[in-house]
Amino acid sequence: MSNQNKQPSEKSWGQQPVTYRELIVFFSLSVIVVITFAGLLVWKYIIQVDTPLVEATQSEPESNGQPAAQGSRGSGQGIFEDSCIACHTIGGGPGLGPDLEEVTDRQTREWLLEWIQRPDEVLAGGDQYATELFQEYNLAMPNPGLSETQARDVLAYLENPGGETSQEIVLPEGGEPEKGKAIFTGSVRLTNGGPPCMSCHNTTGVGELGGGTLGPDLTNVYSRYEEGLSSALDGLPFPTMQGVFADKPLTEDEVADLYAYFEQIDQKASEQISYDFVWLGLGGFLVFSLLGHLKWRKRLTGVRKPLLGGSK
Amino acid sequence: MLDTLLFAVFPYVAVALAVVVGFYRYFSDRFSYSSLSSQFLENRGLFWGSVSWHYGILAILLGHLIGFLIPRSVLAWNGVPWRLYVLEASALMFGILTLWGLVVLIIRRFSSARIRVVTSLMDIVLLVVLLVQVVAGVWTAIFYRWGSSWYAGFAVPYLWSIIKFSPDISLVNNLPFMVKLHIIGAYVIVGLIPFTRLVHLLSFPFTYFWRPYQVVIWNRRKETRG
Repeated sequence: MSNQNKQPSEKSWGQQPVTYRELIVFFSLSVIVVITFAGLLVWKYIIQVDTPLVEATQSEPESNGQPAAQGSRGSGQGIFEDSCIACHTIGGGPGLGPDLEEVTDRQTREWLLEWIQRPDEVLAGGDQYATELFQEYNLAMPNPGLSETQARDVLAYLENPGGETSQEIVLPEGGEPEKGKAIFTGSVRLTNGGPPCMSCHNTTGVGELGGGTLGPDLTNVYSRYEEGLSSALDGLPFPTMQGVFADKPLTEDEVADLYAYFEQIDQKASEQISYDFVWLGLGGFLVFSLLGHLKWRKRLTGVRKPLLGGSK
Repeated sequence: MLDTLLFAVFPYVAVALAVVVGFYRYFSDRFSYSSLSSQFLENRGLFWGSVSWHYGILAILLGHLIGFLIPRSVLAWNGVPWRLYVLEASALMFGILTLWGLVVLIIRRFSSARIRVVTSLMDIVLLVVLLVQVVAGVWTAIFYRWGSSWYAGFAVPYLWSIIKFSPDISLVNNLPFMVKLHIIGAYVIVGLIPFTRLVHLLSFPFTYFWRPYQVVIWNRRKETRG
């Protein structure tokens, strides 16, 4: 313990009076902050009305500098089974994404390599083929976060898949829509501990004030994804969800129940999100302020007012 | 790369800064370990600003802490939609209260000449950072709503990964910009603690809760109140 307790000096920490220049800087900064937020608000709700179903991501793939010209097919198969299989088949027909059989004949190596690593950027760059895929599947491919080496490995596998992973989509059966809804809202917990769907997603008819808005509305996800929905639920291959659900996957029964629920609500139209809870919050704020004022309404008549002695 | 820097490295830098500089300031300039008076004789603005701000921010921080400590219980509470709405509306109420208090305090700090002379550069920096942080928080609550639920899925495992020294940024690096800003803002504020009046967090006079009342007696004739 130090025993040199100094008296507060003129230049004590952060206690020098502020100059007018600093004030101007502060106000400029505040104005910039306010304008930025206001601008974002305008951009979000007036200009950018249509948001893509899956948010473009900024995750940057690792690059280790010296990519092998030719990837390893074996490693590529592993990566494919980990990262791609939820949406793609090789010769098994289209899922959430296209069937990748002979994909190397449809596009150049360079394009595929770029696409595998940065599908979000390629699409955002307005690439024609990517745009066609987006329109056809109504889904932007999430960035799988692969390095250039990994992408080459996947490509090597796609060039020569050997056909042994061709899979057929097996649709989940026997799910109960009611149970699916309970899982969606969270009244029945997910077995592996993931947060309930409603935290981030809305569907028509879920709760008085609706579901969350971090992720897209899922009311018509059934017709949007068609058969792909079951594999989407199975792997949840969306970049935002991967971090959370990679080690907390849905069980088979949960997938079946949710699938049944989405099938059931598919005929409903997705509705405009209601922001009524904001009014609740604002109302609560006003009530709280009023109560505070009433509780402390004598605050000026106690010690301080006499101290002020009538001066302003 | 930037995400790694911001979400995996910066938290440690901020905490280290807070601890090291915090100790240094404590042993080199102990009397400064408080929140310098901002003219409590000016009472109107102070009441609406300071009371709103402190009740709001304490409730909000407590909410973040509870969500962090018992996420499964929060999820269980939120399992029934109306309970979720009650929680979210209350949280938003405190968020708005915090924002309102902060705005009043900012206006007050610069509209009163008396307060201006006791305002330091770091006060200004702090107010700007807090403004950004609170706006980003309220924004997240409104536009990326039901955060009390998804906080349990994203933020809690992420914060634990930081605490366990194996940061997992895949949990947060795809979140919307405003949410990321809110996370980074929290680290900035932690790092700012020892440089600003925020040190008063560490010198809070808890004993005031149970000390006896202080009796104020006036030695004046005209004043009747005592």
